[in-house]
Amino acid sequence: MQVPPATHPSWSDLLTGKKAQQPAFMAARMFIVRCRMELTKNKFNADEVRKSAAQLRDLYVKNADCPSVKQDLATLLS
Amino acid sequence: MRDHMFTVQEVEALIHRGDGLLLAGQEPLLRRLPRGNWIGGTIPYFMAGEGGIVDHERIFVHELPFGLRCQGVRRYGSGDIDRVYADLPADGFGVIIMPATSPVHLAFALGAPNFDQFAARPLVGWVSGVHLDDLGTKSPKVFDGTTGEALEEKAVVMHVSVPKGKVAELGVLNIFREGNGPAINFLSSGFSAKEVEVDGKRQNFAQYIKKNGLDTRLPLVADYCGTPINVSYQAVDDANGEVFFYAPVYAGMPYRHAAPVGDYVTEFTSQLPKDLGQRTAFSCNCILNFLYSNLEGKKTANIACPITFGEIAYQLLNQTMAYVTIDSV
Repeated sequence: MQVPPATHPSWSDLLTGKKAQQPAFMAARMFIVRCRMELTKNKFNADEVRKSAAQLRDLYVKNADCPSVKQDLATLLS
Repeated sequence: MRDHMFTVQEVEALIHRGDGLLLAGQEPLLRRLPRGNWIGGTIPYFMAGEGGIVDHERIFVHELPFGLRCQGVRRYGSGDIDRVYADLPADGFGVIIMPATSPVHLAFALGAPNFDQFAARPLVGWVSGVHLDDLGTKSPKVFDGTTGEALEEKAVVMHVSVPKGKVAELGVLNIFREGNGPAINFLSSGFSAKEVEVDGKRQNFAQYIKKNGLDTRLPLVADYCGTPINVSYQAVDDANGEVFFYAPVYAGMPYRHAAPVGDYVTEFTSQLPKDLGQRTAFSCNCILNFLYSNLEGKKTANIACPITFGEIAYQLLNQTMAYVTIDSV
């Protein structure tokens, strides 16, 4: 299953909370919360959101075989 | 259910076989073991086949199942623990053990989410401890089995490779949920707090706990995108108005006092994913669950694991069972 590019809006929507659905992949949950704490401090600066989106995508690429990652790719990130 | 409790002689035989072993037991037992592909930590509390036990004579053994292999053991101190995620093998995961209250424990607890490559690969593990009667007189330790050394100020990490066609995934089982009370916001991150904001009103947290009669055996709970993550209370110092925790609270993260739970074993069993016992390569559960829920002599389904002073699933957790499962791709 293809992991969408970092420019796919789903990544930033997950980070900003615009996408209300929660990821199944636990690493993503923890990473998103850490990012939100930082992004809140800089008022969701667009460059920082893009950088975090690329890192979030990287988590999914590195764990692409995990059942929860596949689930997210099929539901949240399709 | 596999047997996990072994005598020193039996563990020696397993070590000589050469397979990777994850060990937990009392310090004198671990000191007697030969060198080999193992890491260990001190603790005398376990969930075993016979239920919750305190055992000073045997060692708890997680043998690496499902074709997993030990790829080596690394050590980290407080100065280089920030590399722990970046160093993890691309085709596997890491199992970490760190001594409670050591500098590396504190550095990891506070800093992990900001370390390079945080959560890029699975990191699971636990915080070693001592029998509660020995608090203050004995120090928690970890062991690097490749040298046989006992370490008080370093974390040990076993790199574990996963065979082709299999995948490792971390999970947690936490019976606690956010209660209906107000959100509690901390003004700074750390293992203790004096002032908090509750409903926008700044107040002393120790006084707030007393005034509201909060049961501090229940943790604070934060919502990590649907995963409840606990921070447990260590002590409330009324005289100095300070509250201490077993894991750091983070400024900018709203917490709520946990809702009361009924019977731990019933709740635990009802939340346990089906067949988890058959798919689990490693698990650990918290000493506070063991103590507050009187787990000695009780069984928690078919889960066997060391009972620990802190659990790690990517980052430090409290009052939670952490585990890693191996599934076919």
